[in-house]
Amino acid sequence: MPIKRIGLLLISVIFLSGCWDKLEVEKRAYVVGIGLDKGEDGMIKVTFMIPNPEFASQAQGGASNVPPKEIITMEANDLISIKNKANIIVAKTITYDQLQFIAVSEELAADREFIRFIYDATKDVEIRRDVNLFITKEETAEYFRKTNPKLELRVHKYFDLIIDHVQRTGFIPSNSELLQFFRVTEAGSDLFLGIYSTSEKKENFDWQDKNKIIAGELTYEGATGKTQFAGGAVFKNGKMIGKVTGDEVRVANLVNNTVTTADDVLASYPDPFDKNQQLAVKINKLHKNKIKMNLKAEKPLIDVTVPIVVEILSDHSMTNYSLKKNRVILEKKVKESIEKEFMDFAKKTQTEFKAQPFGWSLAARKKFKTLKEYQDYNFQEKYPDMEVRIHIDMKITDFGRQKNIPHIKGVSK
Amino acid sequence: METKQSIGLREFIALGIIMIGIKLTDDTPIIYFKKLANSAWMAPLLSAGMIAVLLYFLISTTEKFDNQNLVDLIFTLFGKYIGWIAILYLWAALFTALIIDTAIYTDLISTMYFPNTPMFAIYFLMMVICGFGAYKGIQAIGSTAWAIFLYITVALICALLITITHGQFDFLFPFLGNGTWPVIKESLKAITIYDELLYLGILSTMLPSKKDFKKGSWIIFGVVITEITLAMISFLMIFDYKSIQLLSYPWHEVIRYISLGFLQNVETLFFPFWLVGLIIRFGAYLYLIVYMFGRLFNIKEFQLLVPIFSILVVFLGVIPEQPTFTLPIIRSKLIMFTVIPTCSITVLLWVLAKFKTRGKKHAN
Repeated sequence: MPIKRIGLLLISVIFLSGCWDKLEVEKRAYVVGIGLDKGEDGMIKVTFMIPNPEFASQAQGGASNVPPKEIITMEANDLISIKNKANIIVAKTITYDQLQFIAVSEELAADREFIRFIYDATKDVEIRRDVNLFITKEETAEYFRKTNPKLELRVHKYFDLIIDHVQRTGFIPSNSELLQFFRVTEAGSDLFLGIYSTSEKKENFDWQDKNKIIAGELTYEGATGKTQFAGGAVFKNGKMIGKVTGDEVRVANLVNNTVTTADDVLASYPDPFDKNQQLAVKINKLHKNKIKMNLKAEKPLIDVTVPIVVEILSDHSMTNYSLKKNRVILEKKVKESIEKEFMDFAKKTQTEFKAQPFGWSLAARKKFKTLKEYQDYNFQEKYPDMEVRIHIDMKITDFGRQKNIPHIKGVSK
Repeated sequence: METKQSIGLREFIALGIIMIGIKLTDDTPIIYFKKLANSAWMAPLLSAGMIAVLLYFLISTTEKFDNQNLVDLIFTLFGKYIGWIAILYLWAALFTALIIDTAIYTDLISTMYFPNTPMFAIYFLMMVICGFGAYKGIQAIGSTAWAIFLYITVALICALLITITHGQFDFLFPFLGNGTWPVIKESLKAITIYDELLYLGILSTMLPSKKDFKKGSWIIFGVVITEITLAMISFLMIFDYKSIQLLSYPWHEVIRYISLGFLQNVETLFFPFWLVGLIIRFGAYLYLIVYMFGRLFNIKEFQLLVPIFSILVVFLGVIPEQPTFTLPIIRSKLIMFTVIPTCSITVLLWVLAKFKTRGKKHAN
């Protein structure tokens, strides 16, 4: 009996090891980022960013001078066969198991053909649907080469951290995942906002509004990495049709009920007591927006109330807010500014994009009994002519660490 | 029949829930999503009423005849010849279902988890293990089911909770999806959930008493309907109605998408126990198939048929080309063919049982 059992165990070892699909970490090259650019004759250029695992282990006392990453660009027909093709130059087996993001150049994203290539991601088992999608101003090959972060040298960690943090501040869209891209594209009635990034710095930037920036427009000095993350690439029906600034992305985030709300939003608005000054405020959304719709009306109406609480973080007009009268004025004026900003962006979506990134089609779906009624209504087509109202339900909760500061006239005599 | 087997109530319940519930992890939900879009989750819920009636008929019939399982019942009530045909039909339906389902799961495992392993190897290994389970008998299968039941339930509940918190309730609207009539039509198809409950009737004499069978069946029925409905709602809440119609295996896409805090690839937490669940299901199928075959042709040592049938399943299962496209079609066709016979067998049994027992009373 024991011999029989041992024999059985030994046989099962052969099967249980699963030798056909065994993976050895040593023999694999983990692609963390894929870049897609427009190639020639309907092909694409694929760029792999492969971080060097040896590099990360230096923290434990490695001494060798290894580069942090390897970047390879090749012409390809698709995302899948390129894995083997890349092995002509890379010694290890290419795998997408640890893939974190897919970067697409603006040129390719604005092309009708883009949708063909991005659907390769649904065919490969190694690509997860929570992979981030972002759009770069320049060719992704160049973008990857120029991205040399100084503070966090491990590139995969760098992207992980910067995307996570900028998303929390609301400057880039928070749901720029493949899953959402496919969902919005397939449902076909909303706009999808993708993360916008670049490593190109605009040298002579023409200041129109200092606060409204998009990646590449932030002017700074000093020695740091060149890559910037801000703003969003606007996709309509799977094709990029424009871009929006970081502040507009923040508005879209706050107005949209269907995305993760950014929880660390700082913004500035004109100071009601001194027109030369700006107020720094922190905006928090506590619960979901109330959306009222009247789609049956001649001019359909969308009425959205955004409940926010605001903390006033600066006071450059040096106003005494302990007086109730001042607080009332402040609340009224700040509310007006925020409402205006929201409405301006909503108007822009109606006139420029002719569709909205606020997920309102989902709220509209509730007004219909069957899908057919909803599809016949054609929300996207009717949207530009709808009457859109955005209200702010605002409360000021806090005035920074120290609530009172002296009046400016009292100090500078 | 030489080996008189017995199975406890909790093993029976665990077996039933795993056997039927595991359907939500394959492409069954997609069949409904394709036709009904976002009202697909209503189909199992609406069919529950019909299934409850059928299950009531089945249970009240079995309760009237002690020490007779479903096969005995069919022979006594339908007579030798018609009964033989009825059982032949039940046997053939289950055997076809086993072949198609094992082929679908093999395709699933090979596309989602082991892309480089030859499909034949996966299929062969799976059937060897299922065959081993079936050979050991329903007792062994039931105990295994009970042993992993807790883990499977906890894993499923966790997955559902995470999915629902990730998802959007708005995707459930427009509430009626493609309209009322398609929902009713498809919910009639969802009565196939009852098929398995009917086959579980074969195990009714192995339970301590017919009361346990009654209790167990109702619990299995309740749990399975809620489980499938909730799972379908959660799939919809992640993908929305358009995207989900394009997917092949929504459950596996969901567990690949969700993450548990710092744990990114949670599918590895679910995969091994899901595999055991599979083996329990197909092991039980195989056992029921050889049992019915044994009864049809008076083979006393029916468990010796297991190896032949396992091999037969593998060879028939690898026949379809391009299984991702062909198998779901065959399966949804098969569903339409099986609903009416299984329903009518149950109803006829009940009617005949009513007459027989009344006749007896009269004679007394």
